Amino acid sequence: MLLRIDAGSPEPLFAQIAATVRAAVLRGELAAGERLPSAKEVAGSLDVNLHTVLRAYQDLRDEGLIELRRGRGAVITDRAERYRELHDEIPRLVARARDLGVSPSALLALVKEASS
Amino acid sequence: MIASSTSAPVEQARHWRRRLAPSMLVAPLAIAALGCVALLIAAPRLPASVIVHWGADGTASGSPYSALLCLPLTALVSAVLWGALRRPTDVRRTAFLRVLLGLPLWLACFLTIALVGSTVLQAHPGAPVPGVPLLVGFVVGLVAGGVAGLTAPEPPALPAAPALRAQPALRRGERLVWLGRATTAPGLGAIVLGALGAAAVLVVIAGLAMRPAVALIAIVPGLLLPLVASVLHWRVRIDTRGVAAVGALGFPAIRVPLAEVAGAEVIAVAPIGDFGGVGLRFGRGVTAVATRGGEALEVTRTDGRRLVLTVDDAATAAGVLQALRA
Repeated sequence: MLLRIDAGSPEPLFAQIAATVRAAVLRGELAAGERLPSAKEVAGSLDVNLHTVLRAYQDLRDEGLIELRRGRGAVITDRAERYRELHDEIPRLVARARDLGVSPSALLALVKEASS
Repeated sequence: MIASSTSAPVEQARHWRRRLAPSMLVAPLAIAALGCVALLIAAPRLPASVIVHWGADGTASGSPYSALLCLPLTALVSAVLWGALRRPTDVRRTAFLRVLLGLPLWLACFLTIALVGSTVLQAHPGAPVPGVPLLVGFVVGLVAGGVAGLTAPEPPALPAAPALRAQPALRRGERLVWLGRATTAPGLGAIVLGALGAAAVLVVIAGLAMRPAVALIAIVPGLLLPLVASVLHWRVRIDTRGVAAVGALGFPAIRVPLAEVAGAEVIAVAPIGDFGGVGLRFGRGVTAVATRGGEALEVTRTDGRRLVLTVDDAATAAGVLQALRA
């Protein structure tokens, strides 16, 4: 699994880590039942605080994408299949917004508005 | 990981292996079975106790039926070799492969003629020298196995390695890690660990039956067990520190600092042909964690030595390592 974060970005590091995992699920690189690397290993490699990685994993657990089990670590749940369904639709929406001149932040706000 | 479908190379490999069935399975088993039938026909005329030539001191006497062993031994070797050729990534066009392809037939001829021949001859007093069947079996086996190995059809070419998936170079403030693994097929791992465990148990039982001190030899497979278990599954990490491959139990650990990485490529490997087998292998200028055949990450060090890791998604791993070096 590839994890890439930008310490200079205004987006919090934990959100970036969670976003990387979601993207990997969407692309099908992480399937249901697969285990994420331990938070300690990720924290050491990315040179971030352990709690930053744990926060990312907790967020992913709260949305149901992973399960945190003592001794087994973080495991991708069956919800991965549902995320995967969106794989084709999201790029379509993004491309359409670009064609229409709707900025990414405006699109994000629109999606948020529609989901609430 | 991305699911792999039954592809053309797999189909080609199956087809190739089916064409080898006559020389690797049918003929060896038929020869050994014929030998067993011949022995059973001759058995009533044999003394109850015959000289078993392959005994520890060469003159041990045993049951004439011990020659029936040629059938299970032949079946075992044929089945293991047949199983080893299951996947297209397991074979490479080498001379060693020809030896493997001829081995079942050689073994069948050698064992059958040597064991059955030397036993049956003892029905006739004043029979020729007991060593003759051994020599005849060896030579006949060499000819038959050699012909089988050399005339076997050429195996399909190895599937090509996937193209390297390039990653954008790191910008200032960016951090990157790739975490992957190199894993042995569960079935193969179970066979290896099962065999070691069985060896340990057998030694203990045999030791207790003969002399308790002998049971201490079980320490050898006992110590090997965790070491072998550890090299069946590896965690691989690529980040700004470099490449680290660590066995399942935390050892052995192989590390290449980023400053010593001269290059990273995706290659296709066939463990038996390239490294002589599966697992942690050492060759001339190369260290390989070869848990399976197929795509692998090849890291070249600044001193020219190479590290080969059969990680899943080697294309991304190589791209990440190149991006880290840039």
